[in-house]
Amino acid sequence: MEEMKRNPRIESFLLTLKILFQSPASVFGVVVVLIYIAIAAIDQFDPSLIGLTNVNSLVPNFTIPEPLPPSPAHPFGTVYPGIDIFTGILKAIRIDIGFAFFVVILGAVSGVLIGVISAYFGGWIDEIVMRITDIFFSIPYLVLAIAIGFFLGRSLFILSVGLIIIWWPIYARVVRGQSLAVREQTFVEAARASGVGNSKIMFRHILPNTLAPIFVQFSFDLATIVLTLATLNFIGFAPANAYLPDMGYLSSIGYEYAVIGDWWTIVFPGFGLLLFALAMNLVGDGLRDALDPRLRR
Amino acid sequence: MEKEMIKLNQGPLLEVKDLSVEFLTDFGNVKALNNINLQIKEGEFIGIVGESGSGKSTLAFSISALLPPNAKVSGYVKFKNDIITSPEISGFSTVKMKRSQRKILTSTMANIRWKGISMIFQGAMNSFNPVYTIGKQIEEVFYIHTDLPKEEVKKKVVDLVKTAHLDPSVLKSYPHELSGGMKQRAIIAMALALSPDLVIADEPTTGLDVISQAKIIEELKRLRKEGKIKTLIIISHDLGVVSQLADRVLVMYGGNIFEEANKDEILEKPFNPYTFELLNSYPSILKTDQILKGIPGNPPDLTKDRPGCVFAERCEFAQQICFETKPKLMEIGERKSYCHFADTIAKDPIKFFTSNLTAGEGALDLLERSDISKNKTLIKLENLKKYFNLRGSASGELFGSISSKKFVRAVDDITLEIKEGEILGLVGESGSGKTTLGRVVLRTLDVTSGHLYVNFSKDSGDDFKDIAKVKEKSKLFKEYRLMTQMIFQDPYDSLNPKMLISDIVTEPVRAHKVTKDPMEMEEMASYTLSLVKLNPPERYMDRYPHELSGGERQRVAMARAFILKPKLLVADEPISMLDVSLRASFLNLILSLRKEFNLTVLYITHDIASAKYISDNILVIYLGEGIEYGSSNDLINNPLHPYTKALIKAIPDVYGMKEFSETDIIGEVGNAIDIPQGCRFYDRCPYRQEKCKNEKPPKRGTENHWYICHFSQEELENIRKNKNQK
Repeated sequence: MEEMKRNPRIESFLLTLKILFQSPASVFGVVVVLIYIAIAAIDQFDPSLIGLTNVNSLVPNFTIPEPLPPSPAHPFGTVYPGIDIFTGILKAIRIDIGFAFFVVILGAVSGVLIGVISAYFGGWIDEIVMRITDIFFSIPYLVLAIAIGFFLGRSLFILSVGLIIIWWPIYARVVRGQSLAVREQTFVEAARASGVGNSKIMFRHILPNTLAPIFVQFSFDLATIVLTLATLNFIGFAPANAYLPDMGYLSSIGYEYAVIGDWWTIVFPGFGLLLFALAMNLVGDGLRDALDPRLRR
Repeated sequence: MEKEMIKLNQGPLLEVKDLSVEFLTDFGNVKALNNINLQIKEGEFIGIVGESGSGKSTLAFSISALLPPNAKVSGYVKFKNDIITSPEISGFSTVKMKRSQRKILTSTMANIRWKGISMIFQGAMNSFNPVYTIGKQIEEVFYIHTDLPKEEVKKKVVDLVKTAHLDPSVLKSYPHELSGGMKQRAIIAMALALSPDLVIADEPTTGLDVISQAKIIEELKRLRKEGKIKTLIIISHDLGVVSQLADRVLVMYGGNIFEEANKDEILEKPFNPYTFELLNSYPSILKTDQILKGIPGNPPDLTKDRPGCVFAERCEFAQQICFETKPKLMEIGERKSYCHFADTIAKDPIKFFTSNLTAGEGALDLLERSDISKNKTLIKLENLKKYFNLRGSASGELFGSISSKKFVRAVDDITLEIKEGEILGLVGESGSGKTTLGRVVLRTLDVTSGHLYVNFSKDSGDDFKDIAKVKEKSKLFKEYRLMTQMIFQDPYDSLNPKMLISDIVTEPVRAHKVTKDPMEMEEMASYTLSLVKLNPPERYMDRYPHELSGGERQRVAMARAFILKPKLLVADEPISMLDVSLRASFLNLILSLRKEFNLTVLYITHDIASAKYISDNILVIYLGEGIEYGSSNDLINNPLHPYTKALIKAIPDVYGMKEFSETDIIGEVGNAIDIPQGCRFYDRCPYRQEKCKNEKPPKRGTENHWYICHFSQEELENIRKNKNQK
């Protein structure tokens, strides 16, 4: 063959990207998300933080009891007790994104496995798994998260475990639905007629064909998890006295001052949260369109 | 007749002038139509024949002004005095149109659609909205386009449904309550609601079984006779259907009109190489023992620019000039042909086509049938049954009452023997259980009861073992899996889109752990790919299924099935999704593999003509029961069962016109849940008597050609005569 060897997998990936970037909203979303991820990564190497203070903690300065408005020294102002909101937000991005990825990846992996197995074997297994997901869906997830935290403790790790327990059913359901459709396609039967075993059929034939909606769900959930963590921290369900750098925590301590006119204490963390959630949702929307063959021309 | 002549002399009803349509897609620009010129006079029935990608549907969409917004148009389509498709008002330009302009356009189009041009779309199943009754949906047409009062509309709708030979009770039913054929009739009724001047039928019978198809064709013929359909454009990939209805036929390929002529002329003496080769691709029950050639190669990629003729790369008669310059649509008398050599062909078509013919793809002895009756038996089915339980879910089983359990008797009591090296055709309509039988034989579905004896002997002796109830993990079963393989109907569905061709083809090797050596595997794959004529194999190994055409995919599926040299191949409608020109060569591939490797094939199909072409014996199956069995020539030339008789009569053959009437068969395939007590065919049989209702019919005829019926041939003939006298 004369022409250069191409990798069709990369080609189809590039085509997805091309379609994704046709929409300005998606481009905006991708750029913002990349900036957030870059901040989270670069923060790791901030010389002012390495070895001096705990990266995972806000730095209080009790010499500044009153919140200071934005100034060159504190671009986003400060909040009691002397926390610089700008560095606070940078740290918060790191914690929030890391937390969200941890929860969503583990939730998705376990949900996807359970979903494929449940759909493939069907019958009683499927019935039991689906009723369990029904139970999870019937409890408001915030309440469930609070309950888990209440019993197991309030550390960030336990909170993430709680959220993983809450999050897998979404993926299990999405994948199950997809797998049921894929299972009926004839290449699965062809594989069975060729003598291919169950696990290979599940993981080589069915699973790869169910992943597109998972990516979409994944990007929406990253935003949702960040918002959930912020909500929990905002209502005071944060690890006590830990000065956890999180947008929700920042807003919750700034909230009281915002009421008396110190607007910067809540506007900047809130805006940081909003921007990330918006961008992630735009990416998710764009991905959904790009991955859906029906919307291609 | 005189009246018709006068009408024909008037100016054209529809004029298509220099129409080109290009679709802008993410994968490049698809040139769907090139410079189409066409005039249709009132009263004409025009047939458009073409394979997928030939542009026939795009032409239909242009004529009904339904082009999507990514279409780029040049030229125009004029209906009576209105331009309905042109660069200014169609496709791409509608996107940037102002609201007021669009409003005007919509209202003019609304006037033309239904009243002037109406359309019968492909796939009646999806043409109705499932949440409204049929009646409501037909009434809607009147409410939108006319100011008639409600009572009058209701009356009109009832009349309309009656003209389409439907019972007025269908008006009160929802689409899912009707069968495919009835829905298609309702669609036809709807299309005729405002007595349009022009009706466009886009593949009106595709997806229906043979008998419903024959009835729809009869219906359209009758409506023409009654003057209900004035002018018709019928579009199909099936020349048989078109030749039954059309006066004039257009053959399209790759966005060009390749030939235009009267139906008889085109069938007898085509003036275009493509038409000639296309005609040579149809299996026909009237052409006996003649090798079908098919057309080599693949459908053209319309995103590419090519200097020459779009058919050149596949044309057997292509010369240097065909690759370099585009031909012109030449007029020869009344006919037109798009070829550089149209003049030469027109002088003596037969001489041109025979003298320039290169040796065909398949050897001519493929059809030679060796005597298989002395071969050893490979598989014996005895009273094989497969019932499906209608309640599937666990909660359903918990809460449903036991007495309400229902079964679908998909395969009911089939007894059959298949010899080694035999090709057995399994023919039946959709819902007859033929696919289920194939799957039960392969044991991808479990057997409900009965025996499935397989001959495991390696030499000429017999070593039968019943594998009907053998566990899937057992050694015997694994051995059986190694002996059998399957190819499926839909080549787009049967290959995993996320796997490379080389991985797909070698999957059985890995599954059965025949070898783990990657070099050996690659060698096996490349050998098998060349066996199925995917040459050179290296070109295909590192590709994904979506990069291949339908014909190539089906060959890949064949390679996967054949890599371990199975003894038995179950082929479930392997050609029904392929383009006509590719079908013949796939059938020839099966024949050549049989010849070379003594492969046994269970060929499942609804298409009797193709079954006749490749099989030695045919079993006709109806509602899960085998009703007639015989050697393929016997069964086709001398069908014994009333159902087989009707089925064979219903095939729209290019080379023969048959009158198919209501007396041949009644209704449509029933379901296999509530089967009649006596003969399964009772509800539809035109010969039925009192006795058929409750008594099971016996087997009649000889061991080599039997059928299941209460009556002998003489008795059937007498019943028919009596009936005709009445």
